[in-house]
Amino acid sequence: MSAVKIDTANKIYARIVEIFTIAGLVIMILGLVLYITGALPAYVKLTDIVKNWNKNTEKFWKSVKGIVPKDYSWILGNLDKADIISVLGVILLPIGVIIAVLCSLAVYAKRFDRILVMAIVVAIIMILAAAGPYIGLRVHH
Amino acid sequence: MRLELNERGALLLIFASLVILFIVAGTAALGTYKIVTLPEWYWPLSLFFLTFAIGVLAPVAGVGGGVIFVPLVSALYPFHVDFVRGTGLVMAFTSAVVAAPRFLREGLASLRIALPACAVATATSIVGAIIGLQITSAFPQGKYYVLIALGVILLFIFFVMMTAKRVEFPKAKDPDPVSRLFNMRGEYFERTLNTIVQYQASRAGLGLLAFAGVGILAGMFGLGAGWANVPVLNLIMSLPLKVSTSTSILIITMTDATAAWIYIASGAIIPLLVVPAVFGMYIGSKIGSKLVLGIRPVIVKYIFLAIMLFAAIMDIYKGLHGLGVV
Repeated sequence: MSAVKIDTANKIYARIVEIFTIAGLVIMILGLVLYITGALPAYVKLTDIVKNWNKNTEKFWKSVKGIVPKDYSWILGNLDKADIISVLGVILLPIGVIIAVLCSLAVYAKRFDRILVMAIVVAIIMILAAAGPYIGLRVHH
Repeated sequence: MRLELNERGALLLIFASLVILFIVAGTAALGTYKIVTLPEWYWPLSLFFLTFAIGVLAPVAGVGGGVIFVPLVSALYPFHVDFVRGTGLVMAFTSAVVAAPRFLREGLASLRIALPACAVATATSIVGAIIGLQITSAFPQGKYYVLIALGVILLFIFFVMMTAKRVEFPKAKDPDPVSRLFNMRGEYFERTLNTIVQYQASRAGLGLLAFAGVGILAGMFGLGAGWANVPVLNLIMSLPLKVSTSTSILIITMTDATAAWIYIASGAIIPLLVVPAVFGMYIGSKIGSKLVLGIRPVIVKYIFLAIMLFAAIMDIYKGLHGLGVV
């Protein structure tokens, strides 16, 4: 088992993804506990969710908050709300992967590895996707 | 003897997760069709158990789990499909980010293989999304025909993998220039054989071309495509089956990290649904990723094939349903 050689970039990617995943999950559950117990105010009331969860996102948000979310402003403007704290936990997962790709990219750059080109392409696509709502790009997969 | 016990235990857990899946889905069906009245809290809570069961199976098969979650929850739960897909994506993403670190440390997955595949698939998924929009506006029913064709292709791959010999350890071929360029190789310790298995991708150029096709389809339908990664890695690039399923999981971490933003920005992520689903998946996939190490590759093959058959039938059904045939 110990004879198996694992690339440093793989180890770094694994560690970073793990750290962000655990942090994201802790924040998600913390937000949900604060939400259900009412310890912090909610952005969308529990009863409103149950009443409207059969509607599409546009109708749902119009019914519960009178808005149609198109970017991250509905999250960034309500960071003190319990349910939004949970959403922040979700956001940590893709952020972790982006940082992990950037770190592996740094490892490849240091040793002039040809796979660096592919790591750069993936990093650019990920960053563009994250910035998508502000630059009009919508990446599906 | 220890091996037998480990594998028996693993199979027992897989069977138990299937039982949980059927109980939870069956109860939801009773509630949806008004045979029994279920309280509102039942729905988010049952997502925990449902995703726990999916979480045990998904890393073994090399899929995120959306392929099981989205059709089941869309059909049996009261949530709108927008929230089902948002929850399904975060759930599949969680399954991947939980399992991938273990696979990377064991040598079962490799960034050297995942990065080129991911670069090609995510880039072409943008092209697919544009094609999908044009098909929808010019030929509204076109997507359903493509969906049926996709189901038929899946059935074809299912039969190829079912009948192909040495799927678990494909015969090593000479690496092609692309494989040599990116040094697409690695090694892992196969516990069931008590030996180190060395692997190197062959026909990587053709494999990347196939990933381009997978990306176009994924973008066209806005779906995850873990089920498509495995045949490309295994059948075309001749990678061992366990390496294929594990590298597929690694690819999913990157493709879902790309796709998640649109769901977050459009408000399709509701913590009341997402958090129970994510935690069920977290616990399930922690178990599932351990099972992969202790079971024989042939069992991985059968679990993957079962999920692939399910995906093929669902695609054909959705296509026929969209055309009003069923």
